Amino acid sequence: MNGSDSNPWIETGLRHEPTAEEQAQLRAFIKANPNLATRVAEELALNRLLRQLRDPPLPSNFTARVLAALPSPAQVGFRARWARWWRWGHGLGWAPKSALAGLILSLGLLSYLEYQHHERVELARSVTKISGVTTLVSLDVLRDFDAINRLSQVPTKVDDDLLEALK
Amino acid sequence: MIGVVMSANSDPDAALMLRVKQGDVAAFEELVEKYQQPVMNLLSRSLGDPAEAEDLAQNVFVQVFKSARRYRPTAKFSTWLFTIARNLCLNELRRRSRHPADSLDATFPDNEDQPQRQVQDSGVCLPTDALMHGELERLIEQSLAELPETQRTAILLFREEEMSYEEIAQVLGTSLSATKSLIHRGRETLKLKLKPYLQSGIWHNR
Repeated sequence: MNGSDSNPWIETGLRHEPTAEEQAQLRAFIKANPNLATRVAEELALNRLLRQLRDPPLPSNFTARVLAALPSPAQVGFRARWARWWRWGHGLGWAPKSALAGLILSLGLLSYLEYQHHERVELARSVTKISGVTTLVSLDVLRDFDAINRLSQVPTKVDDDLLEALK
Repeated sequence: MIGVVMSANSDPDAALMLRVKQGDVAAFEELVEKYQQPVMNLLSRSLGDPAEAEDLAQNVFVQVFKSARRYRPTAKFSTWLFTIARNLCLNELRRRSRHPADSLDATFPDNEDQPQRQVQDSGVCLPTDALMHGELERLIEQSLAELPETQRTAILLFREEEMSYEEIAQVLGTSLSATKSLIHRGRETLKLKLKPYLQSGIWHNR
């Protein structure tokens, strides 16, 4: 009765109560091997304990919850397409894989160089624009900028009244 | 192709799964109805937490649906299903070992005297019998939980109807002899832990 032996009474006894026929076979076995009687009794008792374990409870709406959690056909289709590409990639040999990796790297490098070129052209264009601008006003003018700016904020109604009075 | 047709013919669940592959949700519903309890039995006893097991069982069936396009009926449907269930369960156990604080419902040594979960009792028995059976049931569940994962899974799958040694070996990814050995060693450990109850004859009349 070691692990590699097939023990029919263990096999069936764990799943259901031994039938009359199986019990008869068992009695015949014990009669032929009385030294194993205790061992067999223990095996049967363990079967009984395991068999009678109650099933963990499941909510009555379990199936409904599973169905509600299913992805939509569109999601399943997208995943399936992605999985197909992934499997295709895995199925390639090392040479096509290297070629593909080289191609992707080259494309990446080309894109980067193209981006850098574009950036330089933009920079040159900006420099050209700035060089065309005439010289800025001197800093002395900007020093009184706040005072001059405030003058323009004087309410115009007062000015109008003054002009009216002068007339 | 002949093998595929033969397998689908000999296994009605594989035939259902081929219908699921064509987008038949009713066939999928039939499979969920049939296998929800066996999957829950395995997951609940592996994780020790019925609520967590319930969520994972739901994920198992969602995964089955998502993988339907890849399904090839080269083996029995139940073998494929329990392989998915076991893999997800192992992922969860690994996640738990990395983040032990996440599972707040797990049992702790200090709380051993408290029941792990509420189990509906369909039978009518005296309070003392119920207490005794409850205690024993908890002890068996605990003994099962303490087995190494492969031994526990092998025994639990063996307990399920229609799972042969060969199919259990496929689920576990082991050889036939290794599977028999796992079941044997698991049973020996259980017998040692439950020895007093094996001799007392308790539960004989249930």
